[in-house]
Amino acid sequence: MPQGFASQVLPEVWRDMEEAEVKVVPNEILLDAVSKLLSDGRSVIIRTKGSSMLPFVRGGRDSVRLSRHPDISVGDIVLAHLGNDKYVLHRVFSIDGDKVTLMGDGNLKGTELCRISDVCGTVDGIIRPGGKEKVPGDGALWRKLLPFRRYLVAFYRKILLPCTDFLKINI
Amino acid sequence: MRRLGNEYIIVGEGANLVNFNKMIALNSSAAYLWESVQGIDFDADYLKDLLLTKYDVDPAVAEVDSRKLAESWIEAGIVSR
Repeated sequence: MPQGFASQVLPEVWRDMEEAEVKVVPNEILLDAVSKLLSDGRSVIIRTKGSSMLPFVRGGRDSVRLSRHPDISVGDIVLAHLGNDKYVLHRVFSIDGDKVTLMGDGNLKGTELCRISDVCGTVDGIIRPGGKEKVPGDGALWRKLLPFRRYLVAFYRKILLPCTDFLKINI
Repeated sequence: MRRLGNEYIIVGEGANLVNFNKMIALNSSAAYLWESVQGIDFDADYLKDLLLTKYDVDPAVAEVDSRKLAESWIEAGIVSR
């Protein structure tokens, strides 16, 4: 509240403006809306959460630009609506007919299964804090490094990421 | 302006791109003001007049509230100067 004023009628407006930092919306509500926009043919930008796509998409820091593609390929990073009503943003690991296997780049073992029709959209760009956008690669090299992933991800999470956060740089 | 859950939000959006990082949550009075200025050029004084017409509020408070609200909308990227 500014000094010397009491906002009598619109205290909520003040609160909204002063607390206008990051609004956390429950995933399902937000991503249902995102999914609808993507199926309407629009692009969407959303902030990401979590560590399952490290090192390529850093949850809480990076955002992604998504759109619906006519086809999906192995190596695409996609937003998918899973059977348990959850959404994931993971990389396509394999496609077998209608069945898609997804795996987070930061995950060591777990995969998710869905149908092609469950894929809501594909990541066209990864947007770093500061606004710079880069087109995602296909993760082919990262996939080859799967036997070493445990150590690479641990190194990234425990050393590289805290350093880049501290120095306020993006790599 | 969209309803998301049980709140009103404005998402910075153009015809083809919807950017949820440019999002601002509104209470009902701010939502009323937003709806009232759709499609027109307005300034903080216009918002102030809307407030004074609709609500029983002290003019000095309306003045400051409307300026701050307009600034927050500009900062959120949902309106431009």
